[in-house]
Amino acid sequence: MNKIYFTLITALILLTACDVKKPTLPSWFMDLSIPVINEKFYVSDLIDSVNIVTDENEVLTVTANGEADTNEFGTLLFTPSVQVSGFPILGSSFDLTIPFEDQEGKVGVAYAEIVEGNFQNCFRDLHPDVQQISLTFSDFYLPNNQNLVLTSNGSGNWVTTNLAGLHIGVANSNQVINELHLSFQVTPSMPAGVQVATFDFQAKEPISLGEFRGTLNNYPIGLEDSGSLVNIDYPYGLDQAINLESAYLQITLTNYLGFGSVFSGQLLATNSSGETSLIDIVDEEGNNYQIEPATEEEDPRTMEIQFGHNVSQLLQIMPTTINIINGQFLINSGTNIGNLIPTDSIHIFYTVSAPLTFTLHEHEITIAEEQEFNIPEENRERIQKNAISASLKLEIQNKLPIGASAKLFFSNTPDIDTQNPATYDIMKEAAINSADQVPGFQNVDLTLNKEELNIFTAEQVYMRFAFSFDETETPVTIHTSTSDYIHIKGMVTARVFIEKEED
Amino acid sequence: MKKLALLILFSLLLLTALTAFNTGKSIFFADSYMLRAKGVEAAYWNPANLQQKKGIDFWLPITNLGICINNNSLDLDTYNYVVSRDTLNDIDKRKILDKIDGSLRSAIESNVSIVGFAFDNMSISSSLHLTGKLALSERYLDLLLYGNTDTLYVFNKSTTDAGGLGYVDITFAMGNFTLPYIPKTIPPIRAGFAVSALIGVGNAIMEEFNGYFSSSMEGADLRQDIVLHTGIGGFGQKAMLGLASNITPNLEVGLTLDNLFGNINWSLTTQETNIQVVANDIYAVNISEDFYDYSNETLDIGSYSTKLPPELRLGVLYNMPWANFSLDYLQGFKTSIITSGIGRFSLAAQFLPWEFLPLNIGVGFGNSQYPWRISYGIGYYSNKVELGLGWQSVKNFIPGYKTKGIAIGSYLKVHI
Repeated sequence: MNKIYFTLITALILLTACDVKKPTLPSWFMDLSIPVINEKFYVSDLIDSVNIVTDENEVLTVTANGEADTNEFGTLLFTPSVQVSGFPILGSSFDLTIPFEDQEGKVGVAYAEIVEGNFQNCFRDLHPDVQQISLTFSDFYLPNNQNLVLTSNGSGNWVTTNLAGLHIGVANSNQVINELHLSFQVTPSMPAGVQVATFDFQAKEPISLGEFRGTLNNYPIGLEDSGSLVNIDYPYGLDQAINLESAYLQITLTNYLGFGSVFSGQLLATNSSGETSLIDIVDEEGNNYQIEPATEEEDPRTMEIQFGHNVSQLLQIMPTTINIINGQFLINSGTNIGNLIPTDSIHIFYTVSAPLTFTLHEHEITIAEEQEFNIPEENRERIQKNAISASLKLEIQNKLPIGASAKLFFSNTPDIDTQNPATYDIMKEAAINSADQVPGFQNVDLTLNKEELNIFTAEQVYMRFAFSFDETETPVTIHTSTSDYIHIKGMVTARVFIEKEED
Repeated sequence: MKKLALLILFSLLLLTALTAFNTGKSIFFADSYMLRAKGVEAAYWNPANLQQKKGIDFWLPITNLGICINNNSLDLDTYNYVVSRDTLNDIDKRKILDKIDGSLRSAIESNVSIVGFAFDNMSISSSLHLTGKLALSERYLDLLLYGNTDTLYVFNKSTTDAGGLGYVDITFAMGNFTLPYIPKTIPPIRAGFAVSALIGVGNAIMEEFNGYFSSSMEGADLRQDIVLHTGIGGFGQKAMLGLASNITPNLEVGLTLDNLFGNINWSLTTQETNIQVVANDIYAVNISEDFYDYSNETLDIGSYSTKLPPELRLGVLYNMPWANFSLDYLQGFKTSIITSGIGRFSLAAQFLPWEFLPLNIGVGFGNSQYPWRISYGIGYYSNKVELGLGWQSVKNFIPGYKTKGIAIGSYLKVHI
């Protein structure tokens, strides 16, 4: 049946002598509009709860924290400087009191375990009738809490007594031992007033004390090498473009010592150019911070120190490191009894917070990473054959108080130098005003002509991005509320050439 | 998307596979044929005129056929112009789109005789009827030529549609009954009827076509819902009543009411195909392989019916010794794949320079759904044999570069 129709149609066409041209598909241009993006970039999305947080005023805040310790207290040196020479021992029993004080006047012992130390004594000129003299130290105790007792048969030689393992005083005593109490007992008993021997005693070498109870005065404890308290890594050299308006340093001190102290030190800030800034760590009145001792009720003792009034001074130079230097805790307990053990220390936990209130100044920031795109062969051919021109239309609503201009550099060879036009093929620039200047959407048009599109006909395309902030005369603050965002809408409009594909 | 394109392509192929609807000889007269149809053809045009003086009128297989292919917009001249251009500029594009009034509509209708004979005042016949249509929104072509320069493109069934229907009728008709009780002052009125058993061959109908494509800064969105019903194998019926009267010896008027109780019930294989493509908030930066949801689900469904809405036809024929003239008016009660709810006129004339050589011309006046057309035909007449060949040009006086469609028809009847 179709043959019949075909014959009839052909006959009809022949009858009317119509010229039917060979079907070939012409080519034409058409405009394609492709939405690229419609997204809000919230400032709050930057919050990672670690280094970027929001404060109680919804201000975006950069924070860094870390910790440092003093050295463990270790053993305490007590240097008594006791010297007794030619002391006559009379009769059958005799008591002697010797001053027992720290030569430097720093340490007053109420109770202390002796880690290392010794003293020397000597009995000479022994009466012939005397068989033995025993000497009891009422303030030195053996590990079994018995008093230290020495005996002598009067050989006339110095005898050194190792005090390690002994302790001075009674545990929990609140009485500082300023004198040593010695008791002599002579065997057999001798008449009163008869000199039975001559006694020499000396304790000049420092005694290392372990667990300690007593007083410490003018006793400094240095910080360990604190290294860099804060290392700030500014992305893309941002430090060159902004000046932070304020910053806060909070130090949380955990004191395991049963002694209070006065904390002193300085913060040294250094920026990438080597410029430094130094401030004392003092309160607003210029006083050093007082650290309270650990107590039975609160051990360890924790306290927080807030710096805010002068830390911003440090940040004016946009430091890359902040160090504590000359940091020390000075113990001055006066007559107050404190205690410690060798492993006690003071722990410092610090937090630096910098609310993003800053002043911007003109400085071009170049993104270090160069983007590399691999254009598939199929797409390269399409761009070469079909793409006539393309434009990227952006509608950007900037709700932030800062404006910026951005530059995109494209090249078919790597290592784009944004300052050297010979290293890139095209550069496109767009400017975005701040919310104060333009509260609504701003239009940005980036157009690529045919010649510029040809860059994308190469296998490799390299792109580098640079931007610079608009200078602000007054400080601006970046907030993190739901109304602080950058809304970007984008549409690519391309004029393409449609033609029949070759078989 | 590829499958959707294939479906549309398939619809086009289906369309071109379909053939005609009219009886072949009516093409000669641009369908102003109601009072001209005699013999077997009267069963399809006005059974009141079934009257054989003597002998049998035969309709030979295939030889009586008609086929019409047309569209409302494009012509050969446009085709030649487009294919001769290396590159279409904006003027060329506008020239193409200006020819399309909202929708590029094409239709194909065909009728092929299977067998038929008429004797006395009755006839029995059978013929194959095939028809199809396709409408494609102008917005698709706009997109293709200009790209998506507008933000919103809406497509619906009023501008994009497709469908096809094929059935075989077995028709019995009787006529030439004189209506009783007619006052003698009124000329006698003949009446007739035809009843047809319809055997459904196939049917495709687009139940739903809704879609849109938007592209703006807010993103691109796409949605296309298509519900297609297809049926193979069905049965149905229709009936026709006809009246005719010779007001004067030369002037005859007539009226028919066709497609009464017209219905084909598709029951052998019936399916519903649901195609849905949805893509929302598409951006180049977040596009991925599954950026759209595509579903194509075909379900077996219960039987459904294709209604054949009734059609009213009025006609008048004036005979002269050397010519005759006719005027027909056709009014469908509802628009369907084979009927139009918008009325149309057709006018025809037959000239008889010699009795054996009838020359025919007809004009079908168009409407918004039916492009105007003009027909020409030539035939041979004798007491034993009638044959002829005719053609029709749509929206142009002769088939040529400006024609929007053509139709051809032939007839061959033998009288013994």
